[in-house]
Amino acid sequence: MEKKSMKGWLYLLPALIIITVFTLYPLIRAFSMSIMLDYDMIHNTFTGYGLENYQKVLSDKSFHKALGNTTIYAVVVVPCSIILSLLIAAMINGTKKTKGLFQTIYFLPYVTSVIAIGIVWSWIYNSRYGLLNSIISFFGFDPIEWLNKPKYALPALIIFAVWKSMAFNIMVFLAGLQTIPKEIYDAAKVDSTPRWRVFLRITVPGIAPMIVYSYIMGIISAFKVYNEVYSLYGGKAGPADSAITVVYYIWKKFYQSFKYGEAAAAAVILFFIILAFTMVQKLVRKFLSR
Amino acid sequence: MKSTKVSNLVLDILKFTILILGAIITMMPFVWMILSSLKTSSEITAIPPTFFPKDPQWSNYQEAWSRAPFLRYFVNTVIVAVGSTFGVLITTVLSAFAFSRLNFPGKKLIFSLLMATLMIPGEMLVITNYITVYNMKLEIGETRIMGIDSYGALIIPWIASVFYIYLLTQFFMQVPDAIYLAAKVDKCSDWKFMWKIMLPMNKQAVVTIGILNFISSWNAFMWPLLVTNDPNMRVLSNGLTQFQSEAGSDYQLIMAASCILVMPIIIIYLFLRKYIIEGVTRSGLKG
Amino acid sequence: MDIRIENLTKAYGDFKAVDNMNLTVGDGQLVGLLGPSGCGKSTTLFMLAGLTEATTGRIFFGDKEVTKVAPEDRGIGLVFQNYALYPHMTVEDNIMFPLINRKVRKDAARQQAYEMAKLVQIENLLKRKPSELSGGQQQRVAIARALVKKPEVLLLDEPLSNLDAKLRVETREEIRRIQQEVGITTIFVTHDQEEAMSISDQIAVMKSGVVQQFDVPQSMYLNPCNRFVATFLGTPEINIIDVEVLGGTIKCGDVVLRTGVDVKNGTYKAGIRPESFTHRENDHKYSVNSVRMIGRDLLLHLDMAGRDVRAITHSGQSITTGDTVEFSVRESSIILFGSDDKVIGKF
Repeated sequence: MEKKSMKGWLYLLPALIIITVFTLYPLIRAFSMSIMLDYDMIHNTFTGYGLENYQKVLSDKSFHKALGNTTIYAVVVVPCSIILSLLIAAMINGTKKTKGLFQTIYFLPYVTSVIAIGIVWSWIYNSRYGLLNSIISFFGFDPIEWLNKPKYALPALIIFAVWKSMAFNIMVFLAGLQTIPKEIYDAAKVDSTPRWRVFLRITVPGIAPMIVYSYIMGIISAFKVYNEVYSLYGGKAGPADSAITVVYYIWKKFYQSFKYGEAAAAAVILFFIILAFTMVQKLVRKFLSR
Repeated sequence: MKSTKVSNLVLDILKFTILILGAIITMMPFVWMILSSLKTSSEITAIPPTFFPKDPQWSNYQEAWSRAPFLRYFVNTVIVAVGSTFGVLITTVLSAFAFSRLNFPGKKLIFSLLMATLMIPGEMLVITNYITVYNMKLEIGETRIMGIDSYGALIIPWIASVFYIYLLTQFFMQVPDAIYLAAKVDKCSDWKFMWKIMLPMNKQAVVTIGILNFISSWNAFMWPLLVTNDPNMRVLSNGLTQFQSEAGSDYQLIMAASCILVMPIIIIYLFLRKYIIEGVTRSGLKG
Repeated sequence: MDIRIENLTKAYGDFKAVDNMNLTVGDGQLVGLLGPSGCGKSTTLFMLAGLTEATTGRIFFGDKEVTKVAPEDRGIGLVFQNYALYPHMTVEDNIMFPLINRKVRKDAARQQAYEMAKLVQIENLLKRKPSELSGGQQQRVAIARALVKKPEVLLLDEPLSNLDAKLRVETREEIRRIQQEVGITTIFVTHDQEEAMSISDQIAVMKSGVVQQFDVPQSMYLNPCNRFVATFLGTPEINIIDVEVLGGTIKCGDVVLRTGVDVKNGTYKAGIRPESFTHRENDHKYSVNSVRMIGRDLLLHLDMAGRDVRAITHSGQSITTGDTVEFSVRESSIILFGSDDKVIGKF
């Protein structure tokens, strides 16, 4: 390698400027804003420093609801999505000619606009004219007011979210499956191992790191759910904020109630939650790769 | 032996049934969107809903197009997506080259620092960035370069991505040292080496990054919503939600508008899926 | 252009990859740097190329000192082990690349590239991409690219190691031919002694960063300066056995190998090349432990006073395991090594 020179910094400069101004600086600002009281962003005034913003956020019912929804998300949506994705990925991997076709179809939701597809889903969920209710009534059940009753708001979001998140998981798992040597499967075949045992004893352990990655990424993105909620409920967080998420909470504090300090405090809390999950993911990954 | 063959056949049928069923569920919203966009206003509110429109109403697109300035939104979206992709590619190639080939003091430190920023949720930065952009108002003559309601605000915060830098650095590192040394002996400068050899050798990775960035820029919603007040500066996704609240129950028009936002990306995806899938899976495997 | 290396050293911390090397290569010579991996031969080559900086010492090309000169200004052509062709460029663009960088006009560059391609006999492959070529063809492209800017020194790093056995023999002759035709001073690195011996004018054998011996191939084989050089050259490997010298007689156990030698009494290591055994009636009888056919020759494992030694003989004879054969060791082919592994003499 070449001798050290400052030239490398010149190459980095454009990216560094942007990242400093739009990532590092706002990160520091978020921390400082979170301890400024009655901060007014436009006039840059505040009345003092303190932890009151954190107190307010942490005792806010809405924030609890957002954390609660995210927990449901982490415990229900992410595992469901992962198990379904794993099965689908293993099945796709087991096909030959149709592999590319299925891959293309199943990945479609990942590349398309959440906003547009959320609007389509809200149309599918429509209680009077929606596709879903007409299917439900075809089987003889009563139609459900998916988007208007708090009870159903979260399930509606969950169905949409699982549908959306499977695309990414399937792709990651499919790629992971390619890394398992074919010889292992051949060996299992020679030993006439039943398929379900092959799946549980070879496939699942083989892509364990990918499963962990998907799970943590799923949880992290659960905190960040925003576009899904916005489009599904037409700019609201569901009836009576029943489908509120952490990022939606931050956005509301910031954009609708102009509580900049509290928004920043909630953002800092989000930062530490995500940091913690990222650390867990790195640790588990290290552990698995040993 | 025979019984395992039969049960394998049953399993195969089961497998394909599930896969096809899943594929139908995955495609359903897209299909429903397209079909709904071609229905008449009475068809769209029929109970129970009809599946296929009797007489496809292509005029719905015209009507949506005329009820809101979708052409303007479309052009804005293209400008922003192309602009940010162009910017991202330049900063990413330069940085990845520096990290993979050049030796400079503090290299390891700055690399770890940048990697650490990957853990920062972007949503956390939005608040301050809004103020930054608000205060950066810059006009040259009549044209606003930066500040609220400017292309600069929509593009510039997104022209550098640590994740893509990381991805491309990995690719650049795979280029053998010998190639670099050979070029050195052949009197090729670092600058020229980057453009003439490193870049063409990693064409596929660069294209992948370009497409992924284009798609995420195209689909962006929260930031453009924040920094634009003027309807003329809206992008498609904002225009669509705005239209949704204005169009009321004209769902066939809303679906047509959704199609305008979704279809270009689907077409790009169908043609270039190799690159997209490659890029996404690579990030998944690396973690 | 002759090359002079003076007291050249490359140190990485305490480790000396090349240790105080001195070497002079005459104009138009083809010299092989030979040694096991990690002996410093590639480091030496890269210092000659200017890609690795020397810690101390000086390098001269002709009368000009180039120790501090940048690689692109040294007037060298360099061929890498895996060729380092630019995979996205055609063969023609690859060969033209050094010329274009030197601001040669495009049509002139194309003409020169064609001539060079003709020299290495790939002129019909100019429009192909490197991935469409065989290993041997890629090698030729690499050589053409190295030579096209008319360098005064050609450096090759393990030029044949990526080729299969048959192609290797063919390509090394080709390298020799091109080198002779151009008349360029050439240094190449290899770990393969056969390769080095077959085409080099001179060989420098290196070990642990030190040149052990610098000589023409034949004399290096016949008169190695120490045990390392003796062992490194030749296949099957030279036999190294413990012998005793007593009153001018060299004995291995109870086997008398030579009489009337003028060496001090004591125990020594002796080297005997397998081909030095020759059949002679009424000489010492060796029992045969195993016989292996290696083409033209038979490789015998013999029992010499309890030690296993290798001997080569014509494959025309019918010898099987368990037989007894009568062999003597040819004149002046027993090499005695001192306790410092240096050669004392040949007997």
